Order: sequence, then structure tokens, then C-alpha cells
Amino acid sequence: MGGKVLHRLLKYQFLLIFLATGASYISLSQTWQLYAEPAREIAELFGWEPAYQPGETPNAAGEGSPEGSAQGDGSGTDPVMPEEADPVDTPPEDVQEPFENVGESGLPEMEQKTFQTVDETYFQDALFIGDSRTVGLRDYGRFETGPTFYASKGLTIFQLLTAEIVEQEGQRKKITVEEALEQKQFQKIYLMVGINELGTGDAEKFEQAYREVVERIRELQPDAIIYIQSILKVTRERSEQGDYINNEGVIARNEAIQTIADGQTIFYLDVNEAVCDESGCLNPEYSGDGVHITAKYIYLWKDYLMSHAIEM
Amino acid sequence: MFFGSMKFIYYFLPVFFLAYGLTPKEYKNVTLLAGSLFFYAQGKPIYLFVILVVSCLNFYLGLKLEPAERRRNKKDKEIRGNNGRKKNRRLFVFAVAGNAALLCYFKWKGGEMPLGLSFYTFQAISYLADVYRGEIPCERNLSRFLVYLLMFPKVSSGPIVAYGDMRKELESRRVTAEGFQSGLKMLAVGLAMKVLLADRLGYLWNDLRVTGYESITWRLAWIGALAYSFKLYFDFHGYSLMALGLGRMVGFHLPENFRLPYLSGSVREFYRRWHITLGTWFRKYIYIPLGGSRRGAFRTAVNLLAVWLLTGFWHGTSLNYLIWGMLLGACVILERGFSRLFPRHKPGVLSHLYLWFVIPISWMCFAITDLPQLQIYLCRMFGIGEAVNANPQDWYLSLRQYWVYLAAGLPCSLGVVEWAVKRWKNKLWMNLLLAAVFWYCTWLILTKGDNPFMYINF
Repeated sequence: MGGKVLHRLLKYQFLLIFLATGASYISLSQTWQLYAEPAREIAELFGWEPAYQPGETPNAAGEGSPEGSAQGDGSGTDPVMPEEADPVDTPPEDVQEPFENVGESGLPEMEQKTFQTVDETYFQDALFIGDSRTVGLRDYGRFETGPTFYASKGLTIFQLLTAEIVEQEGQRKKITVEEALEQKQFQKIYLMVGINELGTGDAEKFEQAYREVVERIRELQPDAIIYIQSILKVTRERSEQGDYINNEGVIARNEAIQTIADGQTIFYLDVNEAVCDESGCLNPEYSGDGVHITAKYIYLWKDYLMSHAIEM
Repeated sequence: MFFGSMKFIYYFLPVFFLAYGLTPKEYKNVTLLAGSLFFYAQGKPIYLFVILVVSCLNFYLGLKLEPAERRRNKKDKEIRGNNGRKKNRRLFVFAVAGNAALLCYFKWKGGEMPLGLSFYTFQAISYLADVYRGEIPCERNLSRFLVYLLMFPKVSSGPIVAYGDMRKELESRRVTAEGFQSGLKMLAVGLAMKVLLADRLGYLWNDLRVTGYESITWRLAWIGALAYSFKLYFDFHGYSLMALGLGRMVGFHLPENFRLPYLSGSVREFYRRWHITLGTWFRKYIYIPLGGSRRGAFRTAVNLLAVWLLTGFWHGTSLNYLIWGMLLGACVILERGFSRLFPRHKPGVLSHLYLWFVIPISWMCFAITDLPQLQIYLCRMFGIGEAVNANPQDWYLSLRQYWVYLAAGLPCSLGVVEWAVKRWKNKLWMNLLLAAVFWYCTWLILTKGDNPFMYINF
């Protein structure tokens, strides 16, 4: 009798292990919530009352963004790694006019600092924090006198301070941006994030998080000029692909974070001016994948920064 | 919905296999067909309509093309002789041309096309040709015929299976515990290849496009070509394993598509081991009917070029695919000449180095559809001209990020995984490992988003 059971078990060994592993994975990682929503809908169809409300779907990159969008055509867009798992899509924004100028809106009526043109030495004590676009600037910007870069593919405003992306000399473990900012002082800090979070939350939440980050940076770096760089737009072709990456979303968020600038110690830089074409989208000649600027044209960004600097 | 998508793995598979398992044997084809139609319907509804109409037409054509003798002769023998054939010849040409025209239309139009049309067309043509030649009896059961053409394990990207090879199992097959689990293991290995190797190496390749091909050093250009060679292999081999695995899980023994191609010592050998079912199709239905190698050296070369031209076109209408095909055709012809001059030459280290030199270059012609960009890339590989604003350390930065995947890719492309899974087939730890790897991959798909298989584009 026992022999037969054992024989059966051995015969289905892999299947049993497979199902057992799957069950533990699904319960531990909360993946069962993937079934909660459809199950609830089916139950409603039959007129059964649900006994509970399904919680938030875990890490809903598969839900919040349409299929195949994260890397759909291998476009090099950074994978979405949201802190807040919000399965609701960003509500559609009204189509805005292409946003070209660094308008005066949002800046308080105080003595306006004006942008100057500087040379590369300006960046000696500068810090760049950003996502893969900043990585491009780091690797191909040819900064002779080194600014520091805390940049990482996929970086979002939600983990900007807490992601362990800063390398330390002689040590394998990386530290967080926050820890790094506690150790070293900079005179200028350039920020550029936003493209990866387009599928998460809305412009308001983005702005809120951005404000908190800027405040924290200000606490740690009282003397630094903070430059909020606009989120670089994408090409028209990329924007029209129908996933969470589109210029309408970029424009909305840029308008939101522009209000953080105060014109005194925090400035907004509309880098899009340097790389967009007449249609208000990223010039396709400057980009291989529609999202990033190629090495050949990264100088446009650098030149823009050098001609829009604040001297204290 | 493709094999590596969250919807397929978490929703479709469990529901389908539950239904399939509960279906009594006589109706399993119906369940399989229903599931396959649902699978197909995830694309545009019009495409489902088109493929169903075309399939029914092909079914009818199959009935009409069967040589009269075979219809009278109930036994399963191959027919020789021309009785009743002349009448059908025009119909046969029409049938093949019709299928081919449909494919050409969509290829020329560009953009989207019905799922798996390239593979579908070749299977339909193979069926019609085999029936016409009297090699197989035509299928008289419509649902079985539709299952042959549209079953979801192979509808999206093959393997291309001759109807004759599937006939018995279409009629009657058994889903055994051993077969099902064996298929499930193949599914796991295939998924792992795709997610853990192909997708990761794909990021490396993609970084180069982001940087701009004019701005990479020759070292990085070769690393990129190597990464792409691996990526394409693990993507397509992974898919094929998943297709075979799913086939096993429903009771079919589908043919393998890859036999460790990177172990080859020549381009000819490579393409006997790469996408095997496609090569087999071209040999049987194009190369041999054209005369193969039996009409002298010159005609052989012409036949080979014709086959390779068509192979290129089958993959895509842009010029780079034709260049790719021609390049490989030329290599094959030269190799044939070489083996005639040196008949006792055995593949050695030099042969393998030759292969690892030629194949990545050919993949670049395959991968880069924009010709000026292709030119730039090849120039970078051979150090022709100056790079624009290249970072001399770019190869080091890239290796630092991706060395693990390149290091893993090499032994995997040489067959280590297959060998290991076979050697420790029934060990408990192997089963645990495969199961864990499978679920880990599905978790990655959930959190990082899915990348559609590349061959879904062809």
C-alpha cells in the first residue's frame, strides 16, 4: 500500500515539486493578488458577494503599464520600478502646447538671478544625479575637470535618495545618495529624473516626491545651487507608441516640478530647448532609441548647461 | 500574448491545462483548438478571421489536390506515376501561389501581420505539396487540420512541422506523466534561457544603439556582436524549447529546432543546426526541386543563392536581410568549393575560429535594418574610420555590467545546460532547481515587464 503511494509520488516528482514551489512563491510574493481581481469579477458575474477587497497588486509593472511596454521594442527605456504599486493608469492629460520656453511662471517676484555662460571648470565642484540619460552624460560628456555623477539606469524620484548607487573608493558595497550627500559637499547639484516614473502615479505625486527630495538635499547641502533639469522629452515616434512613455506626460510633470524652483537657490533648466525640434519633441537625429541622446550629440546638453549657469 | 508574458503564464496556462486535463481523450483536439483560437484571438480579431478563412480554404484545397489514385487506394502507400496529376497541377500552383501571395502582401505592407504568418504559410505549403505528391493522405477532419496549423504551442514562431510527422499524434496521442513533466521541464529551461540570458544580453546590445554606433570602439563593437549572437540564440532557442515543451504537455513530439549550432566548424554546418525546421523546409521544397547539387557546380551555386535569397526575404523585405542571405550563401558556396579542394580536411581550431568570426558579422547584417547604420557598425568592427566621441573605456564599462551574462552565455551556447539537465535528469535537486528557476523567471517578468520574443517579428 505504502509502496504504491511512494511509486505514485516518484512518478509525479517534478510536477509535485513544481506545484509546491509555485504555491510557496505565489503566497510569499503576494502574486495571488493577480487572481484576486479576476476572481472577484467572476464572482460578481455569478452574483456572489466578495468577502474581502483585494489589496494592491504587487509591483504592478505588468498591470499598470500595457504589455510589452517596459522594453517593448528594446528601446532601452529603463524598466519601471515603482515604490508605490499603483495599478491605475495615469489619467490622460489634456494635450498641451509644446513647452519650449523657460517661462517666468511660478517664479516669485523677487530679484531674478540671470543665467551666465561659463566654461568647464564650473563643473569641478558639481554633482549630477539622474537616470540613464545622466549616465549618457557621464560616459560621453567628456568632462575634463571631473564633476561627480550619482547616476543609475532606472533611477526614479522615489528612490533617488535611498537607492544604493554611489560607489566608494576601495569598497565593494555601494552607499545611498543620501549617505553620500552627508559625507561630501557640492556647490552645484543637477537633477534629472522622471522618465521611468511616467507609468506610476500622476504629476502631482511626482511633484510632491520631488519637493521632498529637494528639501532633503537642501538640508544636507546648504550651500549648493540646485538645478532641476526638465525631464528630457522623447521623439515623436516613441511618444506615439501608445505605452506609458509619451511627451504629454513629460510636459505635465515638467510644469509641475518647475514650480519648485525659486529663482534664488533652486533653478529650473529646460534642457529640452537644446535638443528638441520644431514639433516640440526630441529631435530624432539626436537619438538612436527615441529616448536617449546619442554620444555624438550629448555635447548639446553639455553646452546648454554651460550657457545656463548661475554664478553666486 | 506570447509565451513569456505574464498573462500567458499566470492566466492562460493553468486554465488551459485544467480544461485539457479534464477533457476526455476523444475531445482533446477540440479543447486544444479552442485554446489555440483563444490564443490567436489575442491579436487583432480580423487576423483570426483571415487565418480561419485561409485555413478552411487550404483544407478544401487539400481535399481536391489528393491524387485520384490515392483516393481509390485506401492503403497508405506513396503514389508513383502521373495518373490524375495533370488535372491538379494548375490547382496546386494556384494553391501555393495563393498562400505565398498572402505572405508577400503582408511582408511588403510592413507593420503588423497575422500571428505567425510566415511559419503558417510554410506549413500550409508543405502540406499542400506533400498531399499533391501523394506522400501523405489529405486530412479529412477539419478540426484536426486546424489543430495542425493553429495549435498554440507552435503557431507563433514554429517549429515548422510537416503534416506527415504529426498525423499519427493528431489522431491519437497520450499525455503521460513522464511526457507531461518532461515538457514542463523544457518549458522551464526555455523560459530561463529567454529571461535570464537573452533579455539581459539584449540590454547590452541595446546600450550600443542608445550610444550610437558611430561612437563605439572596435572592442565594444565585437562585444556587441557577440552579445547579439548569444541573445538571438537564447531568445529563439528558448522559444523553441518552450514550444516543444508545451507540445509535449499536450501530447505531441515536435521536432527540435536547434542542435548546438555554435559548436559548428562551418557555416554550412551551422545552418544544419540553426532553425533546423526552416532549413529542412527550404531543402525539401526549394533546393531539391530546383535540382539541388545534382546539376553541376554552377547550377548548385545558383540554387544555393536562390535558397539564401529567399531565406533572407522570408525574414524581412528590407535590404539588410537580403545582404545577410547573400553573405551566407556566398560562404556556403565557398565552403563547398573548399571542401572539394581539400576533401580530407577536418574541422579544427581554425574552423571554429572562422565560424566565430563570420557568424557574428552576419548577425550584424541581420540585426541592423538601416543600411547606413549597418555600414557604420561594420566599420567600427574593423576599425575603419574614426569613431565620433567614443569613450575609450566603453568596452570595460560594458563588461563590468554584463560580464556575468557573457560568461554564462558561452558555456550555455555550447550545450552545458542540455548536458546537465540530461545527466542529472531525475535528481531531486535538479527538479527543485528547475522549478525554482521557472518561478523566479515568472517573478522577473512580473516586476520588470516582458520582452516579446524576437522571432515573433518574422
